Amino acid sequence: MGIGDIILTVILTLTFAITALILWGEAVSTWTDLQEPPRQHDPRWYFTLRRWSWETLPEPVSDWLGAGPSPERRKPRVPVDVSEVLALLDGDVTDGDSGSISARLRVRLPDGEPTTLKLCVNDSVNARAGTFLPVRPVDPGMTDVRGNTWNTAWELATDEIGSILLDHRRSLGLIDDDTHRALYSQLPAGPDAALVGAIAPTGRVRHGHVEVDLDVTIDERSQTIRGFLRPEDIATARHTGVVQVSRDEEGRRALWPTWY
Amino acid sequence: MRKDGEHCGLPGTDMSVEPEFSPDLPPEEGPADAFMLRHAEQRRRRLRSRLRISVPLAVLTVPAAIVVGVVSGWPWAWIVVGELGALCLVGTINLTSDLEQQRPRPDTALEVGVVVGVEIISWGNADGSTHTARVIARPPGSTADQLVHGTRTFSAAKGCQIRPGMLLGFRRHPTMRHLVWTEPVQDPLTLFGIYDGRSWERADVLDAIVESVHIDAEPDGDWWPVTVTARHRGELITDTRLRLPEELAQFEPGRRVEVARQQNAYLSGTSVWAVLPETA
Repeated sequence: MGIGDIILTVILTLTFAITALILWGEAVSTWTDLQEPPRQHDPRWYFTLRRWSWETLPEPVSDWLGAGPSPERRKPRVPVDVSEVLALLDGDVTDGDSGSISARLRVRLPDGEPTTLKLCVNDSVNARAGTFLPVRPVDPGMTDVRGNTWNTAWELATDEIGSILLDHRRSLGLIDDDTHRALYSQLPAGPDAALVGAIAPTGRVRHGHVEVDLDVTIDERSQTIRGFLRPEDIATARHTGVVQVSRDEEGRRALWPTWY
Repeated sequence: MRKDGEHCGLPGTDMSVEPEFSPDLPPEEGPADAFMLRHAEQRRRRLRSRLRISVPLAVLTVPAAIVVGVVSGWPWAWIVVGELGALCLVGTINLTSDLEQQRPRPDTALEVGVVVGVEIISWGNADGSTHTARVIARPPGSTADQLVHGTRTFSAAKGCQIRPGMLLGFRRHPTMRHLVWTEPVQDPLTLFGIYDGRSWERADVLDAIVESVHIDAEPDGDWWPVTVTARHRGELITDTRLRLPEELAQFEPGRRVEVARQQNAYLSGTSVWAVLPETA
């Protein structure tokens, strides 16, 4: 056998072996599952997914919106601004490599103009109406591979994304200066989970967020924390029984934002 | 912590995985009903009949490969490749499509719930048609453990327009704890009439702009007495009723809402007003 034959044999062996493992593994796991009686779906499962997304540091955009352009490309210098997702549309071609789904995101740009971005979406918990999406224009007269004239801030790391979204939330009046400072200083540390009791609305409603007073218990101490939350995050707090709070150097607590 | 990949699913499939809850919140699933058991048994039988063919075939490929190897004298590496290829081919027999069976429309009364969550369960491979969302709602006055959920389809070209605070019309499956059958036509005045406990069928529907939201008194469970003030052509309209905090985002000051006006049944010449929620 020549070297070409050996390479071909190795490639075919690996391909077939992996495919056979997946096919037969799937059959075995389905068969095992079907031996157990089925269970009703508990709708609170959705709020548990949202809780997982809440209790992390702000994810880089590339974690939930595909990988962005290839990493060796130079990092863009244009400043980032924050747009708002209006709708998650279509998704008609599957990106077979990553398991994510090509979709179109209808967004409202910072200047109020709507536009459509073609992107890979990994996670529909974030990519939905009302989501804050950090974007920047592609160089004038240019488009990216998919024909977009705007791109996501795909290359920003956790702390940079956190700081941009905190600034944006402050500019919308969703957090005040003190909370902004407290959360900014606690960005690397992440939140603590607090048990939540009563959830009382204050009557203030801004940018799709509702201001609530949350009775929380943390470190066996009860206190009330005020903050703006999206309706689904109020439901998340209610149905998981947990909210995420930060703690600054003086021990003051602030409501951990749901970032995007 | 978040488990990456666990909640990502194949396009067009249900992405629910086995629920895991924190210890202080045990799952509220309820036992499987006859429909679920029958469906599971059908799937089990179908897979069993496939396995009865595929497993013996897979076992037979091994002696077959050995015989071919001995007789033909081809390199053993090629025989291994052929054997693995045969296992893949035979393995495709086990692939069964798992189409979720549609439950029949139950014969129970029409009820309404306030939407508190919208879980998009398919958003890929739409081919210009529709996607599915699981809509989670709470009936008026319910406690936190009385969530209901049902599926709604939406246009892939427009995206999901269902938001928390909207009303969802549904009928209960008598044997299911949370799953409900969602009404295909969601008529705003009919649903609002059920929500309000009296008929609004003959009301006029008008546009208004929200001015303010006030919380007036102590809550009844999770439900707070909320006064929404809206302006219709210079006329101020107030509507006070028990609401969840989850409902209030739709009453952001400056937003356009629909209001309903109808004749006061007790005091002729006057009207009663209500701020009308959108329907899912």
